Amino acid sequence: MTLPSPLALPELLGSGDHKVIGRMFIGFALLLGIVSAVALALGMLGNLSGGGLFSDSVNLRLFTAGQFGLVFGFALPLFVGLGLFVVPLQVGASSVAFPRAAALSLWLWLAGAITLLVAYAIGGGVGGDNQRAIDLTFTSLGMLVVGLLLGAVCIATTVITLRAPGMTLDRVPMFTFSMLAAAGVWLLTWPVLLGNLILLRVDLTSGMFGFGAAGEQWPAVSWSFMQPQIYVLAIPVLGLLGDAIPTLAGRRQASRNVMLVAIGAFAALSIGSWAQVGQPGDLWTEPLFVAMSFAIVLPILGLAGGFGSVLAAGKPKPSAPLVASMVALILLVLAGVVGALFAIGPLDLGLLTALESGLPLVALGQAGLVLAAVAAGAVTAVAYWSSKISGGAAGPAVMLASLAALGGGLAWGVGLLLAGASARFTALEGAVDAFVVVAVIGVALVAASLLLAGLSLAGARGTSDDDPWGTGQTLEWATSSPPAGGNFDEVPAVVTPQPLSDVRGDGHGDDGEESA
Amino acid sequence: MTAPALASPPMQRPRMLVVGTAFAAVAAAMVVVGMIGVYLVERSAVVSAGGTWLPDGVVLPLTQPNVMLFGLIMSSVAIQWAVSAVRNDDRVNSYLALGLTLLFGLGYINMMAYLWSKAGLDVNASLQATLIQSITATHVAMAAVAMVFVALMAFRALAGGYNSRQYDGIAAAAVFWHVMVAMYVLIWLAVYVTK
Repeated sequence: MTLPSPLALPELLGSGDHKVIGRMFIGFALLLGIVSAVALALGMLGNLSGGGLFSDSVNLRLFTAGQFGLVFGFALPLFVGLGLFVVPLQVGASSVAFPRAAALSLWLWLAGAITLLVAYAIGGGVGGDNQRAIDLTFTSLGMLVVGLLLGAVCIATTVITLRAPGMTLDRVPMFTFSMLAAAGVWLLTWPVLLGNLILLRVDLTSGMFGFGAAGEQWPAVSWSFMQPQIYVLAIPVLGLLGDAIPTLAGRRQASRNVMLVAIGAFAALSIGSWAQVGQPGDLWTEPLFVAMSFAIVLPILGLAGGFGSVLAAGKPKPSAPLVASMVALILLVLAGVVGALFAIGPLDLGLLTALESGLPLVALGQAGLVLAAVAAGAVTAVAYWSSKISGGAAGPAVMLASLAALGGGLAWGVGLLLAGASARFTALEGAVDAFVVVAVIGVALVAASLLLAGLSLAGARGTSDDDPWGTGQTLEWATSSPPAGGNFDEVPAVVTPQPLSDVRGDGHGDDGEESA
Repeated sequence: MTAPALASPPMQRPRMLVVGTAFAAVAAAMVVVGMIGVYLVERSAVVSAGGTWLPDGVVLPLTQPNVMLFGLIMSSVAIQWAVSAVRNDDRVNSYLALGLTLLFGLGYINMMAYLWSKAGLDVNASLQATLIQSITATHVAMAAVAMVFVALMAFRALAGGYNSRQYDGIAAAAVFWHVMVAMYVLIWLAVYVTK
């Protein structure tokens, strides 16, 4: 198998190769993640008692631009890109389903992202003062959502229709399974946001009777950044850990089907399009919200236990992807526990704020923990799959990126949690500014982790082995690094969830399936 | 003389287009479902506050929505007829059924346009009008996409692209069409019947 030659620009722009599309998604997502985190940090500085660097209006716009950017410019497209790149390799396919639709997905998303940046730059966005730019903001958000949904359709269809012979749905790699679950939930929930954006956009150009009015724009979309919907960003992280940890530990995952059920349960419990705080009613005391807030902790803890058992059995040496995996898991467990506290009515944490801006700081802190977990997931993916994505091992900076994600996530989440809690505990009142500064430093550290991850990926050089870990279990490690056009000369037989372990003769699966 | 043994047919290609269309149709349906959810919440807030939902001067007749419902249900029958015909290599009936489906679709859009003008819903006048016009226009857009899909598949069928062994395109168009009709049933119930 020969390595692909670098693509010329026209070939790059017109490519329907899932690997080229995936790489571009990943690269632009990391770039937009950094930009969005910087915007969010600057917007958060505006909440200091002395005011920030800019006016209140600009601070609000920076804050909302950061939120939109981190969800629709970074987290979702990162996993759409990883899904488009890795899923066809993991299922033994030569291409993604609907490659031209996948390319359209990339360009539509990218056009939407650029339009969103332009709209914000010329006075648009939530809290903006340029009416036409505000219109453009919500149109571009619609483009972003449609582009990402198109990518999700391609990924889900690939999993359903292009699996190698013998690869039943319970034998697909965990990342592929999580992408199927994530794509399903995204296709059920993000169109609801698209419906809101249509209503908002129509109302903006007509009479502004409801959703288009200045104070109503943010509530119509803010549910996308709150529990439970914020968890949909983390579904693929669980699958990624489910592939990386057993491989790095050199062991097969015990009770694998239970782990798959846990990922599915997490996905189902993250459906949040019904929980629109912009609508009348007290969401935080809704029985369904309370039940989901507690229940979603169970699959997270179950998965953490499963990963722990593999690590205990394998005793792997610390490596960059393993450290990043642990960081993502810790942040996600913390996010789940904090989210469960929302369901305790007397605490009334969900809308708790200590600021004149009225931002629900505790809820935003919890969302920050989830976003930082996604950033740690990005670092894990870069470190784990860099040989496939770039053709070489990621540089040493990726370890630093893991630690930056951990420190950043903790500072971001805990800083905002404490700032919000200061509204309840008078002893903390004087320290609100300090907590906000800690949170801002946390966001900056997360941006730094994404920068380091991107640099590590770009700096990955040299030709790697097909399976640089030597313990790869899933089909992406059966092809060259990076994969050539068509992906596989020959796909190994799939009779268990770990076909490469079978080829090497690495023992029996703990789920009772015979090795080949 | 004995006939030569025929080679066994190759394994049927995975129905990629049907599966992909089903995912896309679910996403399109959720746009409409989400908007109807917002509509019902807003309506409930007004009604529970003692007000009446539809503003003065706005009349939503049921005759046209009923005709549209009947027409769209018939269109679902027609497109399923097309799928059945192409599965039986019955080209004449498949062309007839696809044409009939498109006619029903055109009839629906025509009737909706008439209803918009008749109901007196000025989108610049009230929240109710904004909601109703947005929901129905989104559904008309979904119907237009479904019609383009059916028309493309009809052209492919005319070119001999589909037969009893390979009819994914027609089946995929049918999936999207059925979901579109199901969404109209929701709108009919939530907007026109409930008022």
